[in-house]
Amino acid sequence: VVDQIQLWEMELNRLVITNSYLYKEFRTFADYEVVLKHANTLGVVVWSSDSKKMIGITEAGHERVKAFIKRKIVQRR
Amino acid sequence: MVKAVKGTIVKCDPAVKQVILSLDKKEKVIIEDLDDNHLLIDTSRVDYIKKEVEKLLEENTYKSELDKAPN
Repeated sequence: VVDQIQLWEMELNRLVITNSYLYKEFRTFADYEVVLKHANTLGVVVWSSDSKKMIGITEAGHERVKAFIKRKIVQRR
Repeated sequence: MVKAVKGTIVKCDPAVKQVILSLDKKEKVIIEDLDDNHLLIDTSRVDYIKKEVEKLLEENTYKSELDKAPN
C-alpha cells in the first residue's frame, strides 16, 4: 500500500512544462490539418486539438512553423 | 487569420489542474484552458504556480491519501 501511495503522489505532483506558442483561429479545418501535419514532421508539436483547431508548438519550432504558414496559407489567399 | 499566442503549456493530471484553476481565480495565470490535462499559462507565472501547487498538495496529502488508499 505504501508503494502505491508513493507512486500516486509522484504522478500527482508531476507537472510537464514546455515553453510554447499556441496557434489558434485557423480559418478552416484544412488549414489546421496541413499545419499540424507539417509541425508533426518537424517534431515540434506539444499538444493539439482537432475540435478546437489549436496547436501548441515548441518555442524552438515556432519560427519554422510561422514561415510555413506564411508560405502555404497566407500566400494562397 | 491564424494567431500564435506565446506562453507555457503545462501538462498535469486533472487534480493538479483544479488547483491551478483555483489559483487563477485569485490571480490571473491561465491564458487558455486546453483540455483535462493541459493549460496554457503565462510564462512569467510558472515558478509561482509550481510553488503554490506543491504547497497546496502537501496540505491536502493526508486527506487525499485517505480517499485514494486501497483497503
